[in-house]
Amino acid sequence: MNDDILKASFTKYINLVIRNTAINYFKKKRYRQSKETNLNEIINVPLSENDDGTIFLSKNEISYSDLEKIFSNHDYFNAMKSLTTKQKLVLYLTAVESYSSVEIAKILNISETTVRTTLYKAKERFKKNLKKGK
Amino acid sequence: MEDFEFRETLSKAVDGDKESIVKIIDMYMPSILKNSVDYTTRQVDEDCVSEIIEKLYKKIKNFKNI
Repeated sequence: MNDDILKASFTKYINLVIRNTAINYFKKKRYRQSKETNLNEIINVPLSENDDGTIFLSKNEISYSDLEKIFSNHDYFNAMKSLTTKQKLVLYLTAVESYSSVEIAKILNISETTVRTTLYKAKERFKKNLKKGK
Repeated sequence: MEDFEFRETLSKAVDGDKESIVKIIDMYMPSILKNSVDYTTRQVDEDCVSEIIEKLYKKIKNFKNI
C-alpha cells in the first residue's frame, strides 16, 4: 500500500473512532443529566409546616399534575398512570420521601388505617399495571 | 510529518510503542478537540477528550491495514 493511501486509510479509521467515541460519550452524558434532573425534581418537592407542627404538601408550589409529569418521565412510573391521585401521593411519600404511615396521615390529614389501605391498593394496582405493560 | 515517516511511526504504534502512539494521537488532536465540544456549553469537555484518547490508545493497536 502507498504511503499516502495508508495515511488516508488510517485517518478515515481514526476519525471514525473519534466521532463514535464522542457520540457515545455525549449520549451517556445526556442520559445521566436527564436522570439527575428527574431525581432532583422528585427530591425537591416542597413540603410546608403548619403552626401546629403538621406537615403538608404546598399545593401552590407543586400541583398534582406536576407530580404526574415527573412520574411520566420514568418507565416504571408509567405503570402509575391509572392510580388515583391519593394513591400516587401515598406511594410517592412512602417510596421516595420515606415517610412512615403516621407521618403521611398527618401530612394528608387522614387516618393511619386509610394510609395503609391506600398504600396496599396502590401497590397492588401498580404491580398489576406493570405486568400488563402499561 | 512526511508520509514515509508516518508509516514508520504508525507501524511502531501498532506494535505498542508508547512514544509513537503519543505522536499519532498528537497528530489527530485537532479532530479530537473538535469532536469533544459540548454544544450545550460550547466548550471542550475534558472528560470526553480523555475518553477518546483512552479509546484511541486501544484502537491504534488494532489497525491491521499496514
